[in-house]
Amino acid sequence: MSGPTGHEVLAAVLQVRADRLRVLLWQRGKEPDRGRWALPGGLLGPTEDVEESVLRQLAEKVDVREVAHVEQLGVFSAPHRVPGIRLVATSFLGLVPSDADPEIPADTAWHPVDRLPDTAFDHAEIVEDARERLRAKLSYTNLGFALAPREFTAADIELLRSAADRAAMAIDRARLYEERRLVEALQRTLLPESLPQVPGLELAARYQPASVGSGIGGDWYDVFPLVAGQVALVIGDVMGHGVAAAALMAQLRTALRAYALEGHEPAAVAERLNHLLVPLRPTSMTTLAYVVLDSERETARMVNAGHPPPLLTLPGEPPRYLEVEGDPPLGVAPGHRYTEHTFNLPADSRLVMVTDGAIEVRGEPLDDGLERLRALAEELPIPGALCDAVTARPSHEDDLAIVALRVSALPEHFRSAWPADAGALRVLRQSLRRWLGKWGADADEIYDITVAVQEASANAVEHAYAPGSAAFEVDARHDDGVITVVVQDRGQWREARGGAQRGRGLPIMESLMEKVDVERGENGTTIRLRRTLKRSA
Amino acid sequence: MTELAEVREDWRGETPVGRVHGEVDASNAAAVGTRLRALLGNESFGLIVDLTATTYIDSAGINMLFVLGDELRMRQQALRLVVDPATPIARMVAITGLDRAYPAHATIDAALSA
Repeated sequence: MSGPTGHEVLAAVLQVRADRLRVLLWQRGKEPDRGRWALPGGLLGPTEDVEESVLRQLAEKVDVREVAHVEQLGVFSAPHRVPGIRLVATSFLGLVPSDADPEIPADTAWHPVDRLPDTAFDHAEIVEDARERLRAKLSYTNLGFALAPREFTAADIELLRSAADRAAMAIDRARLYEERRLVEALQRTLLPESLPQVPGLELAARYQPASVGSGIGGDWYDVFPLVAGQVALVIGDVMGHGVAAAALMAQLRTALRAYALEGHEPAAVAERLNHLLVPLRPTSMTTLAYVVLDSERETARMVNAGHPPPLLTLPGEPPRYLEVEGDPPLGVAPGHRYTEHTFNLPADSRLVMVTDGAIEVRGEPLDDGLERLRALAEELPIPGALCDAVTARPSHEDDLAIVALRVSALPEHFRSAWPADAGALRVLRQSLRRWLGKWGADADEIYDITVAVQEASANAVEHAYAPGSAAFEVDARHDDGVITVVVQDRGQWREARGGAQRGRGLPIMESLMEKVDVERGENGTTIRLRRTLKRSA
Repeated sequence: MTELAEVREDWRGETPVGRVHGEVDASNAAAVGTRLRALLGNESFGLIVDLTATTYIDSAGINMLFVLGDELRMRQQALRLVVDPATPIARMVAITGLDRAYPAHATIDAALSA
């Protein structure tokens, strides 16, 4: 028998409120399912498509201008998903930044997604779908920006990622029954999709599963910016293979990021990881090399917990291993005090960190493997080329990870592209200070030029809320004591909110620089700044 | 985490002093503002914001201080600034006219007795 079929749209609108991921639900006032909680939505109107419809329906519950992101989730078409005439539902995911507090009607409330009240029909399934989509996308897109507060910090983003990692592990544990799939999912979630762009640093990294045996193991690498021009480089190896090693790796990676972003020094990070691991009684050991690089001071600090030594190449010298007095691997020596080692990393120097899979070949002395890597590093100064060469060797019996970097020689021409987020400003500031310092700018000049560039970047940063829509470029040149900086944002020009602040930016630039040109075009704004350094005046 | 800036409390009798250490930019101006507001009470004439240990401030931070000053005025309270005149911070405060709206003093004691 065939009866009429209707079409409804439903939206799972998510927001982080009071530190929990919550979904917007309203309590049904009439049958069917009276008293149960339902997603906002309703029947598709005769003249609208599903996208128009969902925005219209949402507008009845919440100010849709507060919804930073909407995307389609899927179609729910089980024949009896609702009583009465057959209804096919198209579901959507909506995201609201955590610092927005939209007004909602009295019958509507934000409920934690992991503790839903009694929900109507199949709406709990749709919420679960939304959460799953969000989790998946957080790991490979910048969708987190749509959930983050409009004034957010790197720590907030990390918090979101950690939450996603934890959710990933819980969901995967419950759902995946096949080991390989679980391990691959973890690896995919946990290795960085791309490395951060750090001006003055060329970075490359690779992970390669073993080509024989159980494949994926517990090797990992990580690279992430810390505050004030510092970059964290991590390479680690949880001995063993399969789910146990990958899951432990996942926990350690997240914990290391959390400790590092909390501001702990490298040795303290290692000690905390050790403290975390000892009671877990892992059946195998974990080795770790953790380096914090300070691009302004051209130095790096390292702790080495039983890991193969990093390979350092100073300008004009052959590569050498950073042999330091060894600290034990993590998890085996309760209360051990780890030692921090400082070394210089001037312009044009290189650093390579690997796991043992990159140097060990069964039946061959370890020294041969170390020497092979050393020779490769001498021959191939470009980080990407070295990583390719190391992972190109066939027949790895072990998985391997490699992180390689080169500190660029100071360019005459400082040119870099930046994501439009406020956290980028501090990194830009640090790089610019270093660059200006090399040209003999004094402290006041460095301060003035840096502030002017930041004010010029404000347009891109203020409008960072549509993911991927905005970015800006900074192009600074030095010519005989004259610094010129061009800041170009390629985002769509929008009238500035918070007019007062915007209004202060231009006079500040004009007071600090000799010449300021602002050009507003259809495709963005270009600001040109010029200042002559005193030493050359 | 290693915050870009830290606000340290320093009470002088009933007067709260917020000492801003570090850098204030668009990424943390709102958070610094929140920390400063948390120091406000009703017993004092207002709030002293000490920028002596501030190493960077741009319009995001200056703007936050203007807004904070407005809020204090609405509460019939005053905002006073402490700025080391030899620093670039003093230049920023002067360029933006912040020191004309809210007098800047060289020391906390000078701000207290103003």
